[in-house]
Amino acid sequence: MKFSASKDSLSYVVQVVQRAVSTKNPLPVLSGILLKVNEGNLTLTATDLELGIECTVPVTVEEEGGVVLPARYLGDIVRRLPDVKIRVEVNKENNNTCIRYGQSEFNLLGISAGDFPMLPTVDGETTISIKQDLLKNMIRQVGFSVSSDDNRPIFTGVLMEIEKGTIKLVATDTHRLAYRLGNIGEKETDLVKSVIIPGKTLNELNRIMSGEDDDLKIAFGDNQVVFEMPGIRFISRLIEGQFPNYKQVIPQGCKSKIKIKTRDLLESTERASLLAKEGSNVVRFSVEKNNMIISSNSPEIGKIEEQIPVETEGEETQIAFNSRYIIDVLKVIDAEEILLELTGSLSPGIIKPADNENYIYLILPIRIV
Amino acid sequence: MGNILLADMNSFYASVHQAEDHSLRGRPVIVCGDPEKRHGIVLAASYEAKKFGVRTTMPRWEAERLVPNAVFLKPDHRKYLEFSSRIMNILRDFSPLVEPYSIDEAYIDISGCRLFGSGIETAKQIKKRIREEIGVQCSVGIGPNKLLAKMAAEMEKPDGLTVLALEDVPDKLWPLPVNQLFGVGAKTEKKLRFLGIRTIGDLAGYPEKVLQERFGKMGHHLHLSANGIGSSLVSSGSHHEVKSIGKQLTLSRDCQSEEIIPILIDLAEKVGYRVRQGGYMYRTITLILRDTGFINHTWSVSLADHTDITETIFSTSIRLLTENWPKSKKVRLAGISVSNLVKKSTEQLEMFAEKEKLRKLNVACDDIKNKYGHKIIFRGASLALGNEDRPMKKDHPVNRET
Repeated sequence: MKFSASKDSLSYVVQVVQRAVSTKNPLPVLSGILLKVNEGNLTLTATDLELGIECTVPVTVEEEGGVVLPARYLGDIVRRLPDVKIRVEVNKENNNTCIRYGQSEFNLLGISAGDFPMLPTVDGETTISIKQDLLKNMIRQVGFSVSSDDNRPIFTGVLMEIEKGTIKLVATDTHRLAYRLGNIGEKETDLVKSVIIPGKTLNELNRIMSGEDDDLKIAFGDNQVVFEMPGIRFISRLIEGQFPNYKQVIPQGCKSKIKIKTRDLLESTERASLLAKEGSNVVRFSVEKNNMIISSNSPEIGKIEEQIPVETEGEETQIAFNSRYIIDVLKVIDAEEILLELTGSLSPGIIKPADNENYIYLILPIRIV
Repeated sequence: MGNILLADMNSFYASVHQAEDHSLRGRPVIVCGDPEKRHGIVLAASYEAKKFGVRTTMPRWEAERLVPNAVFLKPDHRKYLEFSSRIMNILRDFSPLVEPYSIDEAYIDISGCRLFGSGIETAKQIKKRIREEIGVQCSVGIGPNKLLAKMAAEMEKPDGLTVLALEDVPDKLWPLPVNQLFGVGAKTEKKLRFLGIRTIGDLAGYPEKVLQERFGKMGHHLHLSANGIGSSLVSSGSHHEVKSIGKQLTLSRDCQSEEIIPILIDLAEKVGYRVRQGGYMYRTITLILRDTGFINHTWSVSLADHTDITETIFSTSIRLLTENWPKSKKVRLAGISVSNLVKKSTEQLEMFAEKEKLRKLNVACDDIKNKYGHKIIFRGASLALGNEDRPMKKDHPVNRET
């Protein structure tokens, strides 16, 4: 194998695939990145067998072939290369790889490309296409709600439901739930699909997506999902099992409807959380007609009480939440005002942007015992 | 001034049995595990048995050889705990500042109260009440601090009463071998011997600087202890912060990973019960496995949120086991502990009834156990265990009498 490429395109491909490199897989070859050149292209592949990323860039190919190089060293050297033409040559016999730049060279011991597992292929029958900026924003608003508890794998994933030209993302750790609805156009009306995608996959996907108006293709296999962007293929296993019926837990109607400036609530909650006890992060919210009192106290340290203006329809009420759950959601709502809907101090609360119904965040209160 | 008392029950476990069963009084009584179960060591011996040379931690067969006519009993930890709390309650009649140091020892700070006379007078009354109301003898040590009180209590056993003032230290403490000093174990003793230190007096006179270089902070502590200086802070139980709650069990034979799953479930059950009884929630779960080469291995996982549910303890332990322990590798001892504890003052509500259901189930089982005893209800998986592998007390992996 022999090719030459610019430093920028080389460091771009390495950076894209690097996040899929396995950190603790027993197969040593998985701690490497597969490099392949053919037909004027260089393709890099990395996988931890849960998530696989493949990225292709055009290069000047002199001889086709492939090799697996240790990801850590490849990543480190490529980032530090000077901005000159980089020539890479692999010895077919022993896979020793020479990276030449100017008058210098860096040699790495490689592994045979044949040892690297093939990324599974997914037949493209059930595919949809979605704008990258839309999906990116949806993931940003939902992804943070997944659970980190590996004892219950279902909740470490994001539910993706496709139906009637819409796409829904839902994630919950059983204490809070984020729901986001997006429109993907009329073409896809026939497709109905419901899968659970690992939270990690979507977060990595978000990192790579441009956030612009470009199209992204999603193809569904039996237990895999593939995301395709120009030059990048992103494949992930799906989480098996039944996502709980989230529609059932979203309350219909409420007793108190409170309109608050997003920034007011975020900043007050952040300050109150400074004194919220480690572990439970309890912050209390006391709702009056035109004010909301936000308070927390830590017997050994001190206490805080803030008052912000609100518009309340319905009952005055009191409730306690884990401040982290409130702060998380207020950071991803772009609207200037939010609606907080409550029904007493022991029922779930709902937070949504005041100006649209596409986003719903459900949060369970804390009972003071 | 001797304001700190240490009351140390003599041959506590054996004494409890003698107090309960009058026919055992005056006879050599030895409490030990079952030899079949590999922890057949002497846990306690009455003074009648100690006369023949029986010592704790001695294997049962050796004790049998020394005192063939001794009465051998299995330990009954629940009974010991019950006696212990009765004794602590008596001590609290004398001062609010009672710090239980172990199941059969407690420090009492009487500096604030002279209701019962001098330290010696108080000690006499304590001994009398414990003897009459509980039926157990104890040795009491009196000193200006906890260290000297403890050293004093050790000086006369059984049924002793010793005062150790600071000015007694050169005469009474310094001639003793250094391993008699509280806080000097076999390892430290060996290192001290290397420096030519054999008695407590040698240690007291040794340059503190050198001790600090050798032992770090501990060197400073050793220097003070040898000179009779120590803390006199007696903190009653309410200030006592629990850092972790755990249980472990030496298996009746070496087991493969699959076989210990029911044991882990049983351990988790006990740990979860204790967490809830203490009103705590935990966030970190640690699995401890000892291999056949006596090497301990531990793994921990921290959850996103605090909880007090038993099921989370065992599902996490089992996951740690399957992720980290080779299937064919044998286990000699298994343990589970939870840490990162907070007092349960709040409760995060859950969305899908699942956890709420488990929580209610946990509480219902706890109530049944509290009312009818621990053996009345257990998990189906525990049926797979022989009776010998049911987990018992953390420190004494031995069987309870049925």
